This record gives sequence, structure tokens and C-alpha cells, in this order.
Amino acid sequence: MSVFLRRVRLIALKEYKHILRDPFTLAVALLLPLLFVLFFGFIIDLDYKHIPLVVRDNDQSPLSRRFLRQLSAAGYFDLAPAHGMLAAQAALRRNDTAGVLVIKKDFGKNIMKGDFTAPARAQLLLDGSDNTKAAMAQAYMTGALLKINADFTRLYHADAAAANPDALVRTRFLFNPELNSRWFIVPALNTVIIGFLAIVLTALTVAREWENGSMELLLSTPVRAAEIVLGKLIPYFTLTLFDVLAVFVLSLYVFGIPFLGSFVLFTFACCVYITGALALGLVISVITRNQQAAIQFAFAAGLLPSFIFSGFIFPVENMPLFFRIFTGLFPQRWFLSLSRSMFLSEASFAALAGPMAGIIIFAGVMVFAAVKKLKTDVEP
Amino acid sequence: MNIKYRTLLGFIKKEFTQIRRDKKMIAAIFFVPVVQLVMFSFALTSEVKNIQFAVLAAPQAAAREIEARAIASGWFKAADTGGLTDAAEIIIERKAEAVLVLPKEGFDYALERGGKPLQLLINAANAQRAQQIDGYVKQIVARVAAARGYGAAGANLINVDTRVMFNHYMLTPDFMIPGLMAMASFIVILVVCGMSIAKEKEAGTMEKLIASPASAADILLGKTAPYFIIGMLIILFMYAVGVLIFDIPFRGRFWQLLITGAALMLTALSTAALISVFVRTQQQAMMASVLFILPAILLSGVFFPTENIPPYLRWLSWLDPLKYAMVNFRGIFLKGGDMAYFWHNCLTACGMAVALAAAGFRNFKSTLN
Repeated sequence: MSVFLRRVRLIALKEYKHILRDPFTLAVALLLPLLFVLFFGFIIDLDYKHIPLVVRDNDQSPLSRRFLRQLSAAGYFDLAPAHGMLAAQAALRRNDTAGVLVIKKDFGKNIMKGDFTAPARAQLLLDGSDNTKAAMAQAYMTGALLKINADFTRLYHADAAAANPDALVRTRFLFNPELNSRWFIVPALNTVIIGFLAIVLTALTVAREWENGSMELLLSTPVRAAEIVLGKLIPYFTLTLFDVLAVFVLSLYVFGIPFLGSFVLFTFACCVYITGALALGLVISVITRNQQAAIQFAFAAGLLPSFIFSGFIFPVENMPLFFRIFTGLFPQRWFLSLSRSMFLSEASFAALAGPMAGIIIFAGVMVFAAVKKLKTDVEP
Repeated sequence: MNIKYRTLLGFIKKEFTQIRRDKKMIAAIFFVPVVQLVMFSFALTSEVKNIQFAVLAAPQAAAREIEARAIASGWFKAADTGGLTDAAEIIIERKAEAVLVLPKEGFDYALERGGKPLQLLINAANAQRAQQIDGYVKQIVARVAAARGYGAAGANLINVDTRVMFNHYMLTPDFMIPGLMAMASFIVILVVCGMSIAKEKEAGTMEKLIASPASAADILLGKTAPYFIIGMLIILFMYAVGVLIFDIPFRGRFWQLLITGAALMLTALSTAALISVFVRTQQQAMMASVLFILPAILLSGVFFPTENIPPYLRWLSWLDPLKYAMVNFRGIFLKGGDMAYFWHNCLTACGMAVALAAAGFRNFKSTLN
């Protein structure tokens, strides 16, 4: 047993020296998480406010102007007047605006008449080349309309007993009362950072050794596959763990995200997840034996699944059934769910058990696969 | 610049031979982007669905009707509360995403003046989704209230008819595929070309190339030209998959697609050349590419609209070559390729490619240190 540990330690030391000899890679490995945090914390904002709309008011009545004022008051839309329909449509084609709002004639008159079967009409033409923007604009418009309809009905037709859904239902938003997108994104950052960085770091190590021939030298020593795998995992593990803890500290103290779960459990989950991701990188490296191919597969397994299949931006619940099952193959999905639950809610252990089992199984399978696949003969 | 055409041609042939020898790389280059394209087009949708929903109330017709309407709408699924009776606990334990609680005096009590309102608890970890869910539930409750005689059915004083231009049914492939085309081809070509040049440095063959009569221009052009062709092939392959399999519209002109693709490839290749000039190993080339690619993707508008970036940082997205190609592809496929806009984007991308290539060329070390 002690021989095993001694060899692991020696391989780990060798790997540490390799890493330190390449300060550029080390710097990038440390900077990349900070870059992520910078981007998602400060630069990208999922609360799409100030959606630019171009308005063509064909009614020009006090009521239509009141409607527009109320629409822009909430801050979701930035209204600008259109100089004719042709200019408005050109603006849509050139990405200068997200939508065109056209208020039909008799808008004010219809409001005053109060005939609910012939409501005042307006038309919203949205730029569909970006579904995310269009969906958000639609949602905001629906929400704003509910409120505006209720207000106008109350002001001008108080006798019509219109059920005001806003007053009927009082909503409590749990875990994120201020509906701050940062609370949604920042707890998920660790998932993406590890899910991408860890895989990419280890994806090249074994392939590089094959390419420059040092793997043959290594295999001619008494070292066994399991010792090589563990020895290579350790340095990258400490590097990634350091990154994760740095991001965690930033999340808590710079972004003010609450952390309601158990810190010990969270650290344990991080360690398991990091091991799984590093082992996946090693498996890729071991199978491809060629750095360029290794990196392509590392990107395929790391970058886009971390962003897309984990539920980071696009909720997994929205996906078709096949994908809801398929994303279960990726540890990013399970860790993301764990991370969000632990930051934002005091979930009981039972609720966390499922995702926890997911990442433990994945890590176990990957380490096993890396050891099995590392061929200890030098046949190509 | 000193270019000997016969040398260049020989160089390109060598590069193609090397690429052909590596089957795994060919698979990675062509199939990985396309597989990703197919997957994301199927997986992603902006519709908010599969909302696990529970209604907590004493047995009454109104509660059953709310549940029935919610499920009939297709957005909600009946949640299994597992016997829990506290709404907050149900959500914390992840049994449901949204829980509607009726007052114990009944639904009608809530509608009377001075009555207690219904309580709706939503898991708001995802703020966007939570707001959508809030809207949906309120609509359903309003309809049920109207059906029970409170308020005019669907009382709307103002009606805004929304129409989504260019992508009427808001189909994901239509807007995702042009964006992914730009992103996937850019990533693949940037990484593979950069690593290929770095590989020569790592293997020591770069020294031999420098010592040969081939000039710096020959070397850089020779290494990048084959990847230009491969990149164009990838773009055409994804175009074929998009139009033939996903039936996405193509409302612009084919030559616009080719020119935008070419401009994108030029920027990718010049960036690769610039990166590889400064690095010594393939791993460094890869890390540097990643450092460039991540901001490029995030600022390009593929996944997040760029209008949300705070104004004082928005100039960053103007520096991103991927952005110009991406909006151009979307414009060509979906909007018909407005000429002024198209040329503006292409020329900007080409301008960037030239600047990057010039920087790479100037820093290319033609001496052995």
C-alpha cells in the first residue's frame, strides 16, 4: 500500500513541476474563473430592461399618450417615435430596434366607449431573429397590459366589475424575492467553470505525453495505470479547488448571494464534481492520444454541455423529454441543481440526495474508465 | 510580402496530407459542430413548460377547475406533493415549482370585496421563469373567476396583438442555427489552426521551416489556407443540415452567405495566426484560444442579447468579430439580408481580420533565438 502511495506522490510531484514550468497555462487556469465571474456578474444581465421599441402612434390622443407613458414607466421598454412605417421596418431589419408598436386610430375613443367586445387596439411587431429577446418582450408586454388594463378600467369604467388578477392573487417569490438574475447565475458559475476548465486541463496531459514520447518512458517503469491516473489528478484537483473557493468567496462577499446550505456538504460536492470532471478529461486524453482531437472532444464534452445541458441559462424543464433524460448523463446538470439549492434554499438532505448520487456515480465511473483505458502497452 | 506561389502550393498540399492522416481529427472537426447544432436546436426552446404545479385548498369545484385548466393549457404538470401541506415546504423540497393556496373560506371569498387574496408561491431561482409562471397562473385564475360570474370574461379594454416577425412561430432552430453556424465554425477553425501552427513549434519542425527558403508569408499563409477551405466546408455542411433537415428559412442570397462565411474564416485564421506566434506549445495555444473564445461567444449575442450589457461596457461587443458574422448570418437567413447592413458587417469583420493578420505577421519570428 505504501509503495502505491509513494508512486502516486512522485507522479503528482512530477505533474506539479510540469505545471509550474508553464506559467502561461497556470495564469490562464487562474484567470479564467475570474473572467467568468466578471462577465456573468457584471457584464451580462439577464434582466432584459430597456428593450428598445419604436412607436408609431396613429391615434395621438391623450389616452394613447397616457398608455405609452405607463408602458415606459416600469423601465422594461425604451420607447422612441418612428418616422414612418418604412423607417420602422428598416430598423427591424437592421437590428436597430427590438420591435415596432403601432397604435391604431380610435384607440382613445374605444377606451372611452368601454365596449369590451371592441377593445382599443394596438399591434406589436417583434424582431423574431432573437427568440430570447422576443419572448421577453412578449412576457413584459403581457404583464404590463394586465396592470394597465386594470388601471384604465378602474379610472374610466369603475362600474364594470372586472376581476383584477393582480389583486386576486398575491405572489411570493421564494429563494429570490427581488427577482435578481444574479442570484440565478452566480451560484451556477462554479458548475460552468469546473465543467469546462477541469476537463480542458486534463484533456491534454496524457495526449501530450503520448505525442512527445514520454509516455513510453513512463510505462517502462514499474508504475501502474491507477497510480498514473491518481498522480495526474491531484495537482489539477488542487488548482481547480482553489479556483472554486475563490469564486465562492467572491459570490458571497462581492455579489452578496446568500448561502443557506451546509458549507461542509458543498465542499464535499465540489470535490466529487471536480474529480469527475478531471477524470473525464483524462479519459478523453487517454482515448484520443492526440492533442488536437483531444481538445475538440474536450470542448464538446465541456463547453457547450456546461452552458446548455446543465440548465445554466436555459432551464432543463423547458426541454423535450429526451433531453431531460439525456442531460442526466452530464454531471454539470446535477451539480448545478445542487449548487442552486444550497445557495438559495435550506433544502433537506433528502432533496439533495438525488443530484448528489448523480455526481458521485459519475466521478466513480470516470475514474474507473480512465484507469481501465490507459493502455499500459505501447502498441498504437 | 515575399510570396513564392509554388512554395505556397507545396505547403498547402503538405498540410492537407497531414490532416488526412488523422481520422479522429476529421471526425472531430466536421461532426462535432454538426452534432452540437442538431442537439441544441432540438433541446432549446424559450417556452416555459413542464411547470410542476399544486393547488392547496379544501375540496371545492373552483380548485379543481383551476387545476384542470392549468394542465389543459399544456404548460403545467400536476405535482405530487407527497403529503406535505405547507406550501413553502413543498417548494423547498422540490416537489413543485409553484403552489397556489386558496383561502380556507373558499375561492369565492377571495373575490368579494375585503376578502383574502389567493397566495401563490413560486420557486424564483430563475427569475425569468418565475415571472412567466406568475403571469400564466394569474391568467388562469382570472378566467376561472370570470367563469364564476365575477367580471367580464377576458375583460380587455386594451388589446395588443403581438406578431413575431421573421420567425412567426418562434421556432428555435430558425434562430439558433445561424448563430451556432458562426460560433461552431469559428471555434473549431480557431482552435485547430492555432494548435496546428503551435504543434510545428513544439515538434521542432518550425525551425526547419524558418531555415528553409519559405518566407514568413509563405509559412503563415500555407498553414492557414487549408483551414480556410475546411472552414467554408463546415459552414456549407451546417447550412445544408439547417435548410434540408430543419427546414429553416433562407431569405437572403447564397453569395451573401459565402462572403460572410469567408470574412468569418479570415478573422478566425488571423486570430489563430496571431495567437500561435506568441505561444510555444499546443497547450498554450489552446489556453489562449479559450481566453479569446469565451468573451467572444458571450459578447456576440448568440445566447444573450447584447443590449443588456451596461452602456459603458457595450463597446466591448463592437470589438468582437464573431458578433458581426453572427448578426449577418441571422440577417441573411431570417431577414432577407439587407444590403447596407450586410456590407457594413462584412467590411468590419474583414477590417478586423486584416488588423489581426498584420499584427501576427509583424511579430512572426523569422529568426531562431
